[in-house]
Amino acid sequence: MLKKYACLLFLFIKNSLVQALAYRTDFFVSLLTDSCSCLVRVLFVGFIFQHVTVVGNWSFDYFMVFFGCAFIMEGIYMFFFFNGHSRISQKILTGEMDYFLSKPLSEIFYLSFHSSNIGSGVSNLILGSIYLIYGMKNLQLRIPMQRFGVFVLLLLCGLIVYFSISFIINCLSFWILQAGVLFNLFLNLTDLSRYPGDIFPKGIQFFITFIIPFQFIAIIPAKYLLGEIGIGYIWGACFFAAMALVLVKVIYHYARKAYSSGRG
Amino acid sequence: MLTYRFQYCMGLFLLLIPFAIKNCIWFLAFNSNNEIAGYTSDTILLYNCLMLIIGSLISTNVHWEIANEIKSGDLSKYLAKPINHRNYWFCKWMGNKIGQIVYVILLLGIVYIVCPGVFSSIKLTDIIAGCITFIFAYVINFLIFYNFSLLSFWFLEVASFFAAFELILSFLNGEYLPIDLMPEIWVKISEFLPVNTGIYFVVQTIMGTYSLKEILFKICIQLGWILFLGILASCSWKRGVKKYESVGI
Repeated sequence: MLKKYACLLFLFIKNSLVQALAYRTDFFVSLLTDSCSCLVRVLFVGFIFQHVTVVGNWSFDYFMVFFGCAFIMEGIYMFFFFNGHSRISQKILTGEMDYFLSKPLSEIFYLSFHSSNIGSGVSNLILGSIYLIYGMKNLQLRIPMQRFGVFVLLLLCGLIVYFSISFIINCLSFWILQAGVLFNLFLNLTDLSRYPGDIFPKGIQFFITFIIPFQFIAIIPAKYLLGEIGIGYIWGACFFAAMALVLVKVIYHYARKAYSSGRG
Repeated sequence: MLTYRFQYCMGLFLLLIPFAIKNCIWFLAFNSNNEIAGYTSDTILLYNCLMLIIGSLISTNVHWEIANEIKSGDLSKYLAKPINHRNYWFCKWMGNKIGQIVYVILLLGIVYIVCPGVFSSIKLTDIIAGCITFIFAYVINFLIFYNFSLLSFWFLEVASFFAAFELILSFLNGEYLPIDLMPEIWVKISEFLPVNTGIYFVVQTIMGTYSLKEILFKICIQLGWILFLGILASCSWKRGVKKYESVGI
């Protein structure tokens, strides 16, 4: 079973790569565009740090660790899920969803993984890793194996939360026509997952940590790496990830019932 | 505009998210410093508010629409009519700005409610000077994007180019932080570039940064850029049309 899905995932990625390389210039320019997007955010903070030594309680290197984790998560999300999720509403409107429902495999898996955004994914992953390594090196962080394991677990929980919010928002297309606008809102709100919640007013801080847990996507793993959070947050991350998966399953179950083919 | 009210309101909200994040970071930076390179927390808030308002008034998406027309072959309809393509789009874009003006009024209202004293330091003379510089900045911004849209005559897929260009230009324009906080070398180079005579110039004029002499000098640079970009647009259009094949038809 697991082998079958792994093979399928490999085929989906291979297919997407072939498609992306059909327009080679566009592919490489899209790599550049996404790199610019990562770079601009770092430059903004970097130029502020040219004039100050700390922002809040953090130096520039701390911000690099935050950005590093955030862009790695964004890279993974973009690589695997973005294309699939962003096209759900279109599939519902055109009736193309019939095709996805008739296949003998998990619909959530098929809808999420069938198309990879390789350009955005790779550029975010590379730059994110560079930022993370740069920040960690300058802060002279030495991570024992056990701690690293927990960090990876937190990243995994963050990814599940990221995937789930994105999928649930796109599932709303089964009921409302304008869910694409909500997805745009979600993409903009992910900006909140790149900065530590402490920079925002208390109300927003609470909202992005416990109501829609954007902070658990990248900032909580980054803070764990920096030794700023305790064990409670690790359990919290696992709890949110488990809850998110259950929600995905339940909401998709009801969403699917609301679907009526758009084809005549 | 009112047909898609939900999208319109959402668009306004989307504009405010990066604005809020940017200001939160600035406020945090000002917690430990009263002044950063001549800016106080009040002046940086005023700068960001004006950037948001002037930026949304000047912004354009003509390049996406023109590129689509060239790609789909819709451009042919202009070739058969006795109208100037550039002037047509300039007028059309100005018409579209009515929606943007409603945006700006709403934005002004929101900013005024959240930070009531933010605009109190602005002088009437600076606003008048700002309005004059705004007209030229508006034309420069249109011409930059119009010229850029004509690249579609030579390249089939331009979406990524446009996205990269928009992002880089917004950063260099000072939308993220004032140009004078950027490295010294860039501040000097940008002095004569359109980025320094566009939104940034209008915002700094309204904030009262420049003397009358400096404003007049910069307006001359603006006029020079309008002339250059206008000629470039005419030449690119003539060459582009020769290459145009109307493949979509």
